[in-house]
Amino acid sequence: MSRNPQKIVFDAVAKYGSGREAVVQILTEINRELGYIPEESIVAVADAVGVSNAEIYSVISFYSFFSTEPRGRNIIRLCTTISCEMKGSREILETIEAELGIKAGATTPDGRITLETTSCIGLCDQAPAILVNDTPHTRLTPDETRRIIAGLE
Amino acid sequence: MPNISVKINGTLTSVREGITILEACGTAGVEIPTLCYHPDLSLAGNCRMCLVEVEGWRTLAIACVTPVIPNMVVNTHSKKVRHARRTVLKLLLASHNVNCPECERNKNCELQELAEKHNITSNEYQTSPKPESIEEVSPGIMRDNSRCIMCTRCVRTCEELQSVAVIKPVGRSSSVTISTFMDRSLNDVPCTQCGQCVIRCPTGALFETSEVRPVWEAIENPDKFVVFQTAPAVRVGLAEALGLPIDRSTGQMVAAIRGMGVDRVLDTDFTADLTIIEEGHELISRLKSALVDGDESVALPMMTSCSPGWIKFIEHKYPELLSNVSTCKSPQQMFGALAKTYLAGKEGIDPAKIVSVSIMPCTAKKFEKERPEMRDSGYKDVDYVLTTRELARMIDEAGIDFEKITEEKFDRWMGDSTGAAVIFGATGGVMEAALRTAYEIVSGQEIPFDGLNIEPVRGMEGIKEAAITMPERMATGFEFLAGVTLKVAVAHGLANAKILMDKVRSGEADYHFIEIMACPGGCLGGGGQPIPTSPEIRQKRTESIYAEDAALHFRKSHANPEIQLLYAEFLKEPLGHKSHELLHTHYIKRD
Ligand code: SF4
Ligand code: SF4
Ligand code: SF4
Ligand code: FES
Ligand code: FES
Repeated sequence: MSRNPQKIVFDAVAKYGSGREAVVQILTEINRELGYIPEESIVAVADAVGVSNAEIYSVISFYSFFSTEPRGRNIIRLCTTISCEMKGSREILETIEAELGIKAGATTPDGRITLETTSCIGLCDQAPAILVNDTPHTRLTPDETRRIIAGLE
Repeated sequence: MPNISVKINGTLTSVREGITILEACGTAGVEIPTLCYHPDLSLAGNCRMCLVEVEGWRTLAIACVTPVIPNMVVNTHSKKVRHARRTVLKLLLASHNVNCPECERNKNCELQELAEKHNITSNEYQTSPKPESIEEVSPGIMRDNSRCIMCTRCVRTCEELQSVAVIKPVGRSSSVTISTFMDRSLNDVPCTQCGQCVIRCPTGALFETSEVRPVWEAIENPDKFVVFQTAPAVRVGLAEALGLPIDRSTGQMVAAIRGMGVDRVLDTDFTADLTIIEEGHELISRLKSALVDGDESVALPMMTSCSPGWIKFIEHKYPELLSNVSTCKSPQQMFGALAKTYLAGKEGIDPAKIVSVSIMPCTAKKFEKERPEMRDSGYKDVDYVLTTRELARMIDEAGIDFEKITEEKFDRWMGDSTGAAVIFGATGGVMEAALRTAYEIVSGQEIPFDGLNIEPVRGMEGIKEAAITMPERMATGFEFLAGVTLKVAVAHGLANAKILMDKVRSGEADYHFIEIMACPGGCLGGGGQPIPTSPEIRQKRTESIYAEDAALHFRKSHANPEIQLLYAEFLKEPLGHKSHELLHTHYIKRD
């Protein structure tokens, strides 16, 4: 059971303060706990920090790890930048899409997995790479990918 | 700061240390193209249009943000600079929905002008214009992000000048757009519709929601009786909007509108005078309740209500102060309510046939006329609102030569105005007009300022204060004000309004009366006025306004003969039954 969004903001402000510099930390806390940042939390953060809702929304929109839409329990982020692309990220993408029956950007109907593509995640030397939640997986093959997916709750 | 010597295009110049290369070039009379720079705003340095070459520097310098240093050698039009500027322009145009003939800003666009100046006749960059993306639901303002160059002038305007901050860059890299909270329409966020962003946008990405076509249709329809009202600030902006030097052009404006085929050309100044009478009496009655009856429920300071952007702002941000706002409708809406009642009667016209059009320096007026409360005449009190710019376009379309046209006078019944009404167009004007009248009502004597010019409330200071002490001898019934010092304050630009409201809310301010105008400079700097705007431009328009005031025979609202007739024949008395029905309103709390 996650805490209510207002409470998360309240606690995060107690921890990080209500200055503008605390915004990203507060948002990270919300995003981590709820998997996304709901509208009411944006309003609560804006009120706490004393800036407009639009400003917080603008910050959220800058970071691809933040979302304003609910997402799956697990998030797979597949790198599609050039090194991974050359090492077969396209095939990995097709594998995941086929396995989950969804396209990149979508969430499985049971809410288990969200699939996203991302720019370089700094693992070019071990391409192709994905991030599953906070865990990197590198030098992927389609088989290995299927195995990783199967292991997700 | 001491002066330092720099060389600009081969000429040695002495400039103040610490200023930017752009400012230094300005003093030296060298023009540098800019896009994201605006004299009213903080520096952003994001467009790279202003690149210049500094001798000995590896890369080109961004003139608008780089300070000069001693012995700097600057070249503003070298080969390298020209190439860089052309590249910047071509890249901007490559991702721009270039369609100038169908653009609201055609011939009034900084991007177009720079493209022309830099001879951009072809573009080798692959063009990938963003799709047209029009946001059309907001009554005052439309946005088309396909014409946006991401200069953030609008964003800085909304935050720095207006303290509203409803528009922000959203997204990252090539997918950034200027957007709102959850990408809502401007109508669904606390946007005041002030249009300050519009007059600072260098391109056609922001513009007013135009009503030119339906107004032409009304004029062309023989069954309609079209009545125009023109706001005070329009007469000092219209010439400029038509490409002429800044000057007042009241007589030409009237003639041009009549020339377009409008049935009656009348003056918002008339109802500005009326506002002063009603609001002046409201102030006196609030003061009486507070000072004599000791009624603590009376909200003071009283605040002016003529600026619809300000009204929307306080409804969103300080709803607990709404009872402080005068219940008087704005002059535009008073006019609308009277046009379809009083004027209809005077002219013997069926009010259903009247189309009431107002020419405003303002985009928020388009929002105001849509407020559901604004139907006290039994009809929509104001049918259409056109900005100064839209009127200029209509005059152009009608083929009227504004420069040569012979001056004409307003029609009667609601066409008389006084200098007090004219100065509504400048910050401090409503306060000055109200004081000229209120002082005289309560004391029976003219306000003791040289030539009736109440200098302390004039000028461009963001927040102005004045204290006026009443004489010991008062008119009968107003003895309670004898010797009382009336404290007033004036703010323009919503960021200044916010400072004042915070003081009022905290109890720190002890004013009796506050004038607020949403736009910097007052209506003459309104979001419907000619583009561009700058402190110098607003200063010139201000001078025109006060020149018009000084030139008018009547300078006090209560001296307006048609106002006297209106009370004698129709309203009977200020704050009376009819006034309450037609001229006063209420406000609502907004999220
Ligand atoms: S914004 Fe300027 S350049 Fe773009 S279409 Fe309009 S007039 Fe042309
Ligand atoms: S109209 Fe005024 S309040 Fe609305 S976005 Fe523009 S500057 Fe901000
Ligand atoms: S809308 Fe206009 S002012 Fe705002 S960023 Fe775009 S071009 Fe600049
Ligand atoms: S390109 Fe894929 S991790 Fe860098
Ligand atoms: S005007 Fe200098 S960077 Fe835009």
